[in-house]
Amino acid sequence: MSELIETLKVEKKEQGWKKLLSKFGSLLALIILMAVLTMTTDKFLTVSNLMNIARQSSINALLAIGMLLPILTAGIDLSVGSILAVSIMVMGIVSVNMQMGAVAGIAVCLLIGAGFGLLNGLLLTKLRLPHPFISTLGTMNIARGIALIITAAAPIAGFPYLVQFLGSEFVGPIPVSFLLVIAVYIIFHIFLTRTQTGRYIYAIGGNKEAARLSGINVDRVLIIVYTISGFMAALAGLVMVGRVNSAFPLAGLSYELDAIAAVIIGGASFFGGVGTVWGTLIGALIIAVLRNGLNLLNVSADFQMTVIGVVIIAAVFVDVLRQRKSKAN
Amino acid sequence: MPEEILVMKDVYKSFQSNHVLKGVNLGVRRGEVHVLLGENGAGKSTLIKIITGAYAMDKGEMIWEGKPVRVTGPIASMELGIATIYQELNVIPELAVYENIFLGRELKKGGKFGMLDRSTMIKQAEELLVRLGQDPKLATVQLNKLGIGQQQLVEIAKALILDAKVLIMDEPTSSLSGVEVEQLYKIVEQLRAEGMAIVFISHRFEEIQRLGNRITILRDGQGVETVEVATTHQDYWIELMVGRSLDEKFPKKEFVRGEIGFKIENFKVTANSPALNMEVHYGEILGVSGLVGAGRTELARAIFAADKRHSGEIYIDGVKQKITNPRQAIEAGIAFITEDRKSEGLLLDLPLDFNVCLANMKAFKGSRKLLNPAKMRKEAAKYVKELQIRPGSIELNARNFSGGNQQKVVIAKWLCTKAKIFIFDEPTRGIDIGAKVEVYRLMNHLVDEGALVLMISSDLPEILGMCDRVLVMNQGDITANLPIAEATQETIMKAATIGA
Amino acid sequence: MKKVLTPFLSFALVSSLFLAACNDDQSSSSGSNSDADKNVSVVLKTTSSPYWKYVEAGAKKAGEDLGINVTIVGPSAESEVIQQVNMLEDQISQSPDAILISPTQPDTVIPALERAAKDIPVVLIDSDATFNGKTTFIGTENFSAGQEGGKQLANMLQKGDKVVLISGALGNPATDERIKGAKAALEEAGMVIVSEQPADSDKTKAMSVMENILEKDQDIKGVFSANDDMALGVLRAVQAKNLDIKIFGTDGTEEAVKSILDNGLTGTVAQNPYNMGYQGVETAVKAISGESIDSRIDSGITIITKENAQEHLDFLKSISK
Repeated sequence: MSELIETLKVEKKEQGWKKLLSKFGSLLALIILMAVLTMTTDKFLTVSNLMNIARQSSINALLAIGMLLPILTAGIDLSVGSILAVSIMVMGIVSVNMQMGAVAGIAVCLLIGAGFGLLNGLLLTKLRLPHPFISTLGTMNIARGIALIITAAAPIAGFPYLVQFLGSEFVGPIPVSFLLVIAVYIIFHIFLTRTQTGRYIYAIGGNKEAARLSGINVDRVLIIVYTISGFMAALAGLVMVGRVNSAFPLAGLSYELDAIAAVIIGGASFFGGVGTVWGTLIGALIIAVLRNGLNLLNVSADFQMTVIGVVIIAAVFVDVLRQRKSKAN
Repeated sequence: MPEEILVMKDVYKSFQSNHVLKGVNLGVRRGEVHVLLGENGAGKSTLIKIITGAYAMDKGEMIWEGKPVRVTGPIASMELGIATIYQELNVIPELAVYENIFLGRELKKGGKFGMLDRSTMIKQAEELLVRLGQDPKLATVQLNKLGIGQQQLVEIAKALILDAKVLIMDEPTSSLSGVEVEQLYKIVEQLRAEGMAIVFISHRFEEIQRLGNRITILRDGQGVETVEVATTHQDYWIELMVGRSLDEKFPKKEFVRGEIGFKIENFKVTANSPALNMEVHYGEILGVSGLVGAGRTELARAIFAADKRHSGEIYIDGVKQKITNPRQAIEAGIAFITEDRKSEGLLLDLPLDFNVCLANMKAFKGSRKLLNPAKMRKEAAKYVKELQIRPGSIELNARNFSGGNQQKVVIAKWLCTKAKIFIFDEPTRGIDIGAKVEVYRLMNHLVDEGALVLMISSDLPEILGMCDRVLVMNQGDITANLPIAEATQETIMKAATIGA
Repeated sequence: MKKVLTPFLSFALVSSLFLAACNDDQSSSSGSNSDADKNVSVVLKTTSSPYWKYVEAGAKKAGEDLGINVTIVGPSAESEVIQQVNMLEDQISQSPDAILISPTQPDTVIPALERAAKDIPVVLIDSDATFNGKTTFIGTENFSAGQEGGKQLANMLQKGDKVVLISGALGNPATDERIKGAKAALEEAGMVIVSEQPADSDKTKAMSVMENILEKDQDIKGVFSANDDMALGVLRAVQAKNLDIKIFGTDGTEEAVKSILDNGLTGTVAQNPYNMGYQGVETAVKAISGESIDSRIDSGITIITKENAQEHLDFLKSISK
């Protein structure tokens, strides 16, 4: 018996180590990446550049945290880039073209985003479309189409200050958009770890049938998940508008792919139930640091795509190796 | 004494610091059924995986027909002549029987890149089916049209095509009905008579007694002993398995019959199924027996609203209940321990405490409606202790527990909901004898505390040993309601098969 | 432990190898003159299309001739609007002496450019943006380019002939201006514009747009397209029906010029991307040394038809080496 306790203790210790690594594995990759860039270019480790990264990562970080939820439920949301576009175009119409003010514009923007998310959720649960890949692929096209139609594809510029605040202001050297990211991530962390709905999201991804038989209203949770994802797309759009002071209908084109990449690099599983908020943040930062570093090194855009492709595969492969190890036990 | 075709000598295997096999020996002879017996976690699966080449051993020797061999992978093992039939069948439902049999070794006309030689494959498949006592016409039938038992025969046919000399069967009867089991026994006996060596993993003592020649008993990763089936008693086997003697296999207690707690009235599962009535008293363990496919699981799922029922009423404590989804069933005090732990019961890649608290999460809300993880951990730890779940780490994912302990995790989840009506569907399938007894004790404990238990089981000794009353189902209908005194294997089987 | 770490280390290694490998392949060039310490950053709409390769070639050549460092960057596709903003920011943070930019969505770069323009000259090429502190805009007068093309097309047709206009992506100001110019010229010459449709600057789309138009009406005599790719798509649709339709493109790409030589396209309004790049760098250097610069510089156009096509092709080949 005492022998058993001994082995259990040893096991626990090893698990502690492994847990630490699996938790912070992508963080380690980020740190190494930053170290390499610091060594290869003297412009990388400057306050202004780091703040650039913080700003550049914030749009994808906001999309990615929204994307984390569907992926946790073993789903996907392909429509976030298009929802972003339609939300900001409507905001432009309301607060610039119709001069109804910033607050109304922001409110409408977020509502439209959540509304399209809700639509995704309803298509999935009420129409029983077989997979969110399909429902969100549909809304992806619908939303993009609407974004182009409503302004006849013209961009809108000249937003009020309040709209631009999130995307363009600084507190000291720190961009407001990055502070927003941190705040949102803290809220999501609490939501996913400490609320009933948040835990149900993991349960559904872990085993949908077991979750249902444990009394979880799966449809309701899925609708919430996609609504939040849509809302986050609109919020990311708000930041984007602030950053570039304009809204254009092709905004956010193929952004869903970067968001998915961030979530996956951050260690979430496509099969659901596995993934964390902080992993996702690190995933988004890795992508931003990589892009920024490659820009600083004047690497051509075509090469950048190749490198990011390799990183996605490498990151997921690391994850596969890790899981293979844990399953062998 | 016939020679041993396969010998495993002093095999060691560990995963990191976890020593799973610590010097196991096994010798299998031609023409024998060699049973591997041991509790879950004793190392049976690991040993099998080493033999089939899925794992490499750390230390030890494998001797095939007298010569030491190194098995480098599953293909190498197959080429030696070792075939395995796993619990989860390894077949492709959408393909025809003959296609399954020849999967991966299709016959072709004219060399490697030729066309498939369909007619020869079908002919050979037909011959095999006849050899296995089946209708040769099955060869071209799509596999998913067959029952589990016949699908398993297809697996055996695959082994025969390979010309396997050693056939490993991992609990082959665990999901078969009575008739199918009998058919399988006959085939195993026939293969043995043809000189095949069969390694048979089983927890069922009746079948070990009927089929087995010798037993190798594993405990804690060590081969404790190899004994002759004919000359030893099963109590001795148990003693070797658990390292102590179990007082009784079925720890049934006297029961005190309480009020009627649960009742269904004119309950139709589907539009065409018969209207069912049933009353269960508090303090009672009601067995639900019948053949596979008799409609027991369907009834349980309809009660719990896992599937929509056609019509009928459910009463709890005499009060009509509105139960149209699992949430309402849980709130009414019903717990449903499903047959398939992995696909319907557990969140395999999530930790134990999460699994335990899942069905009653609202009970763990603390300030500002946030969940209190400490409280959840504490609750989980309580059940770990109460149900002796091992290993006792509440952070470990459910996947890492053995079958018996996984079952305890599922039960803990339902205890956590404070249910008083427990529906167990095949609660001891695939778990070892020690864990079985613990599950039985737990049921006793539940009824002692005033709950009531419905136990669906295909294991007749278990029904007879544990229940206070037995319902028999047959083609969706309840065909007998027997007090335990009147229930025997014969009366139950008769009710289960009449008109079937 | 070691085993667990290995993947992470190899991951890092792979990335750093890539970085190192790509680092040598910079598109900067430097001469040996005294101005070698001057840096000009060029941010293009993309670096992955022939047109922008000409701009790149011009800018590079200017860098060599003037002996300054020219860094040229751009996203992998014109649709990557925010990526272009990111690249611009990353260039600004390296504190160059001047910025040359061609914005995909002009409004998006204004905040960053306004900040940059406080310290250094900012020269826009190809596409303009309006903000305080801009040094100059060098580019084609798209309206007049369209107008010239329209006039040329009208000269080849009879009064009252039916013509079609193929525009770029909705909301693209450059292609829109060209179409407006062409429309004005064609209408003035008495042509009947039967259809005006967008084809997103895409060859395949233009082909199907034209196929659809021809389904309804085969009596079309001329087409003006806002870029050459679309003109070539239109050409395929027309050739499939064996019709004789005069097709005019805009841009003057190598493919279009070859097609003119092969009796395919009728003509094209060639922009001077090489000039934009060259003049852009030249102007930036002048601005750095404090010379005064006109606020609008026309990079000019050339109408290419069969007569001068070979000449133009030789020029394109000489710069794209």
